[in-house]
Amino acid sequence: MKEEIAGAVRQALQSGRAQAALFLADEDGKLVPRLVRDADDPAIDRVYAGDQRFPASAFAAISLPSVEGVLAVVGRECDRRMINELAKLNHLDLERVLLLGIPCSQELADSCGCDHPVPPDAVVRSETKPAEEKAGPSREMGVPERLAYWMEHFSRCIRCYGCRNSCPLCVCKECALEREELAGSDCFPPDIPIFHIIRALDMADRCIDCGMCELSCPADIPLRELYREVRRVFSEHFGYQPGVSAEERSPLSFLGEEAELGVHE
Amino acid sequence: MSKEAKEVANIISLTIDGDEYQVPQGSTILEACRAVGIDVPTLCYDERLAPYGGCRLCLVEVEGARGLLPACTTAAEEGMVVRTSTEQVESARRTSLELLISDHPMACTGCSKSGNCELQRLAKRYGIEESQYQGEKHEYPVLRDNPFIVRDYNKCILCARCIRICREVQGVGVYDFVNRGFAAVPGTPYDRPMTETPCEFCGQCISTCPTGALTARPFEERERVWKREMARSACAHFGVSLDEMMEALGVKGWKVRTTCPYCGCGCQLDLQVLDNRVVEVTSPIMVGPGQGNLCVKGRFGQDFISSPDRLTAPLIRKDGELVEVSWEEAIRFTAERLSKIRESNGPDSLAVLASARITNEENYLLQKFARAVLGTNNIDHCARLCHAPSVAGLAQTFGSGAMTNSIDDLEKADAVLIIGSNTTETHPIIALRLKKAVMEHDCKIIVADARRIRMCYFADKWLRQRPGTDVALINGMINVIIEEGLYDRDFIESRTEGFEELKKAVADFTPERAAEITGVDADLIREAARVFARAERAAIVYAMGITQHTTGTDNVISLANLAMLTGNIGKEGTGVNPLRGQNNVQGACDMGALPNVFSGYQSVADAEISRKFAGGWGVKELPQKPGLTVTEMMEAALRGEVKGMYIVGENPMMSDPNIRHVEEALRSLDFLVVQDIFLTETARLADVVLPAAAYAEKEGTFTNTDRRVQRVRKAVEPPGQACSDLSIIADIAEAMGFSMPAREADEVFREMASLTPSYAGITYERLDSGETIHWPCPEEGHPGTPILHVEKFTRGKGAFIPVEYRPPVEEPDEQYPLLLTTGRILPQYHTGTMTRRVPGINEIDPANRVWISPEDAEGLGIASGDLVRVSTRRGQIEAEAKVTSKMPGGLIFVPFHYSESPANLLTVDQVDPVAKIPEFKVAAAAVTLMRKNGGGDGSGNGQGTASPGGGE
Repeated sequence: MKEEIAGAVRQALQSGRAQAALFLADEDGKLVPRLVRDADDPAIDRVYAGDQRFPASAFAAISLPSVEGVLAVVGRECDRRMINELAKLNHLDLERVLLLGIPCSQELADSCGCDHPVPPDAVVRSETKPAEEKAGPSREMGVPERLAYWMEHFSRCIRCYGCRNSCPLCVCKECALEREELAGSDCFPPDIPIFHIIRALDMADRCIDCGMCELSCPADIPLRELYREVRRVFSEHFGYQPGVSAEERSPLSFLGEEAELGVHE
Repeated sequence: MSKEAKEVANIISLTIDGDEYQVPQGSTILEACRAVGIDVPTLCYDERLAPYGGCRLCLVEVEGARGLLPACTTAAEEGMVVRTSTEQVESARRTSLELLISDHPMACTGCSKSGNCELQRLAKRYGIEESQYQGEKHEYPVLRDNPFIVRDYNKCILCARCIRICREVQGVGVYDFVNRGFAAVPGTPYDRPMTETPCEFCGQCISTCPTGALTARPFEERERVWKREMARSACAHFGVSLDEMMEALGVKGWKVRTTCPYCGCGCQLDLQVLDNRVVEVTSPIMVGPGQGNLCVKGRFGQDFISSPDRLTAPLIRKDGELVEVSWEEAIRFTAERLSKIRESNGPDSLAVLASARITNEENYLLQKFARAVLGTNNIDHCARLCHAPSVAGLAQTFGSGAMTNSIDDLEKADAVLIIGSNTTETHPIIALRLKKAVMEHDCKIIVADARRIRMCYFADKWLRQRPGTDVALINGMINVIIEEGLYDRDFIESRTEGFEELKKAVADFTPERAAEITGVDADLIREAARVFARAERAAIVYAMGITQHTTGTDNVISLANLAMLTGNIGKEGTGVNPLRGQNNVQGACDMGALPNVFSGYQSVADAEISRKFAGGWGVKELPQKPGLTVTEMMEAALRGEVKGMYIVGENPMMSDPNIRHVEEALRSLDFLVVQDIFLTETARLADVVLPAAAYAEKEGTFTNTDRRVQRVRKAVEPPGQACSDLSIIADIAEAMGFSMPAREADEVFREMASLTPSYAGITYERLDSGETIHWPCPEEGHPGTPILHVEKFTRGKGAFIPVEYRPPVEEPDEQYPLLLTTGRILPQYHTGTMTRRVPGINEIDPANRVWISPEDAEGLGIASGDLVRVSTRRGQIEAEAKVTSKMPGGLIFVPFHYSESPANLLTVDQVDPVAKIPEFKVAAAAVTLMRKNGGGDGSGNGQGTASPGGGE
């Protein structure tokens, strides 16, 4: 797999389809992101092909202003969706980003409970199959039980902002979580459940289930489960799934227009 | 090296990790390791601070020693055998780290220090994610009681760096440990908010804190910078530093090193830039005049760069209103009007005000424009209002008008006379060096100031002379030194001339006579003179309190006399040191933005020099008659002799004396064009306003007060259509038919250096390679000249010039019984154009305050917070009163930063006959109570005697 990815990167640069390439590199067991501008840059030999991940869209957004032309980005399907969403939010120019899609391993797909482990037009062949969804216990609970379940988890929150800071789609200049009137900006521990409800609602039309939030949370709150449930409700009503399409905008982003609130088949 | 040679050279050798090394004697083991590139982890160590030995991470094994020793506090000795990484050492380090982490919220992905955190780096290095020591963790509230510093003591590792830096470096001591044992934590006195402590908001504490316990507020609060937070989160994930991450991601222009745009200290700044915005300001440790330390303006005052008030388009006044036009129209119109006025009324009917804020290259081009294109020597700038007497006075006595020593060697002084300089307010970084001299080797400071300024707390002697009586005071001291035979005979004999005349002139200026005039006790004058004369190395530091008088030149000359008398010139820790106020006022003078000289102080009246410049600039001839100074220009405008003015980066409507008069003068002009970054009070009167680029938006150089030429580098793009002053000046010149092809800063610098002997050896290559160069630097191999007049004075022998005491032009009388003096305070800068657009600074210092003594206040029925009116013969202003015992009876102080109550409505405009500087420091005033403060705390000041950051 490593060879195929390296080959795709070189090809993108050599052919002139991209002027720079961004990928994770394995430098003697230490993982770092790398931006290269030459097809014969030795760093390409060290491209990483394992299961560890970090939102490539964030790296792309940070690097893009320093690149003249197109930036090729090695990324998974969740990275592709992040990039689509960031583009819709005007943080990335899709014309200037070329995704070199790579599949996730079956182990990774299973542990993420991911039903989309392989991006379309992936540069590497793979046998990975969509995995079983990991619903989490709250789906079967009644409302009072569910509330108690979440409040118990939230009670461990230390307001570290790790979930927000590592979320590739949390890009607002003015963050609701820091507004006194909304989430009580100075209190520690945070005001629950409002702190987490704010995040969950924001994630309704943005979350692409990369799981960075849960990975970052030092209090082991099952955030992914929460956002999955919110998204499930949302998509039932609007038929919209974040990140899948680069054109289709979120129903919540239509200002002044009417959006239909109904159940889609 | 032989043992004898080593002893002489003070070198010792020791073995570290199996290899032998030579290091200077007096090094600690840690310093030795660092010098030879061996990494020993530390947490409580900062190069700026004395070693503390608190964190125990630097423990090393020393053969023969009992137990492990901390490398930072143990002296390296000859023949020592050190091992920095044995099993025992690593185990000890690991234990220390785990203990620290056991009470640390390991939430790196959310922490703003991630990527720059020393604890994070060490935890990653030792592979510690969770501590094996379980137990209670602190749950402190995050303290955000001021606009600049956030204190989250949950992340504190009790290394005491903040406590130590505030005390050892800043000399303030706002923090200390409170409580004991597990409850020990840094705090402020009585747990008061930072705004109710003497905190100066320098942010040194933030710069040294190894974790996220102390962080800076401004950038993320108004606008979240998600890319930076994401990058920090990535740093936690990958275990790299933020700088490494940015480099790995190929981000260009992430960290730009430039020079601070505020005062003449010239501190080096590292601007961190994301998406064309400055998101953080740090200062490189142990680099430049600041050595990593900054003040509130440098560290937290950069918001003005992206202020929404920035001028973004050229403006022309049409039908009484300023309207936006294209650059093409603005340049064409300006060129036409200037040409027209020149044709009908002659070149000298035009005048140019250059800027002490713009780069050397831009000032050079501006004086070239005035002389070669307009054909006049009517070019001047605000140095006229500050250090013109220094230039005039020191040129007469020494032959050169600049600071004689460097900021670095001031530290070495054994005594310092600080006269007319509230150094901690106006040159805080230089004040740090002086405080260091006191704290480290008991330097004796003599403060000569009527107010109890902060430097008094570090002073050995405090002379409280009445403003305007400095010549009397210095003559009195000179009298004592001569009388008691404390003068340096050898120096006077070999290096000076005119001593006999001086001796005669001060013969009857006894301390008693001086006491009568100055109000300072005669014996105290004697003591101060003795301290100064007896010191091995004594320096004089001065600023506006000396220069801004009608006797400014005389004041400077008497200081020069004092220095020469005691042989305190030409060696480290001595000298006559005028502290230049602006970031590039020294440079503006050096570049010839003065009516009588070209760049390098080469006289315009000298035929040969005039020919040289004419040749260099490709013109037949240049005007040889010296032009008008700033103060004369205003008079000439009122008389109708000056009809057009081109003002760049200056705000005479706030900075000139008697601004009612200035307004009349400017309004009487036929044509006024102002080039600036904001619509200043002056720009509002203009016919054309040209939007310029700020310092962070262009390349160039500034020259600071100790003649250090330093680089200014572009970090962000200018807003809208704003352009660098360089291209605007060149465009106008071209539109007037004069070709100015050099548009890049380095090209212009090269041209200037080819015509300016003192800058001739300075190049961008040398500066970009990190070299520190003080001019004069006459050729490329020359290292620069940190100390002037070492072998001989610039004029050969130093000239003693006797000076007579003359009183100020306007002294208090029955109608105006108080003496008004004006000046500056720390959080604001000059006319407030920049600092009053920084929200945080406005929070700690929202408005003007009149300082008045308790005795005067009582007599007038005034209390702190009351609204008072200050009136003089020129005008009146209203501001809040600040009653403070720092003021002596009979004296009031008003800072000049506030547009809504401008102190210069009150000041006299009589000038020093030689330097033409106005007497800003003395006027007769009256104070009346306008309205009592409601008893509440509306101004945001703390009650009681402790005053918040605004001016001590």
